[in-house]
Amino acid sequence: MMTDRDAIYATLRRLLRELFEIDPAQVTPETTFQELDIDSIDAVDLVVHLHDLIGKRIPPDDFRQIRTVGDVVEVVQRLTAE
Amino acid sequence: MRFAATVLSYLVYGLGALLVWWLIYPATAWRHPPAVRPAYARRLSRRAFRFFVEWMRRTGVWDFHLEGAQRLRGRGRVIVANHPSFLDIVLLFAFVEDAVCVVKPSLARVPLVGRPIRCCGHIRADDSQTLLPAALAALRQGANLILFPQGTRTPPGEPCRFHRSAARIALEAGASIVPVFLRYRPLLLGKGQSWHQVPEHRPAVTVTVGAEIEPEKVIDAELPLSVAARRLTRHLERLYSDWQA
Repeated sequence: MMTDRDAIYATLRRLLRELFEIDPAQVTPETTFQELDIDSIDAVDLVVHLHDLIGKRIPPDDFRQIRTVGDVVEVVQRLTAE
Repeated sequence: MRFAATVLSYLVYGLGALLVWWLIYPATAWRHPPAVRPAYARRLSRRAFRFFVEWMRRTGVWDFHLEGAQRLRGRGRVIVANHPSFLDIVLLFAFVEDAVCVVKPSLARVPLVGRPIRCCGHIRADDSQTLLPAALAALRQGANLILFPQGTRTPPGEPCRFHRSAARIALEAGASIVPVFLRYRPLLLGKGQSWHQVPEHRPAVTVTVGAEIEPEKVIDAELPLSVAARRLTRHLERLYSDWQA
């Protein structure tokens, strides 16, 4: 279900709003998590919720590479397509 | 004279660490079952730090005041503090009972420091995914968890920017937070200061223990943890900014 880039992106924006009260208008694929003031403890929450949604774990190596919102879309798409 | 006393103190610190962690601890830890060895190491550590703080006072390295000491009594609480100096942790370890500290990973590789970190079961903050469960487990066992939400030494007067882990851990554990405020006038062993830069005036060091914060009284318990942690962190940042002002 979550293979479509746009759907993943929309879900991510919703999560960012629900979990961190981030205004979706602030978010673009190029936005970095640093700009959104999401620290490592927040990232853990985000990963847990993504895991619930896609039913797959994000491998720690992929997780460390993530800098922007677009990176997450990329990783989630790859994992769900596998 | 005070220069000599100060440098001698650092020497005492180093020799003391050698004595405690390479002699006394290995010679005595075997009497305790492995499960309680970290707690034993923490008792030993507290005694050593108390001695050191008292040594610094008696030899005139600093004037020292502890305000609100009774508020430090208790277990299973999250102790947060600002972090102007290397000596902050010396002070907290001397006065907080059964203290587990969240430490910067690089410290585990520092000679004389890495070994006590391992013996006492302090928690390395290298990965948030392992930090959270380790911190929650320590609190459940009744240890007090010390965190410096600024993450590293920060010059006094800079705007307060806190990492959110302290708030997040307290919320998830249902633990209260005890804020501690550290003041050095003038500062020694701050960021960018070297051990041989001894201030011209004898530093007045004040440790002020603030009133306990019960997160559920400050933050709506219905909020998702991630949002609640943000709000509680802002609450703490305001508390420290107001104190600084």
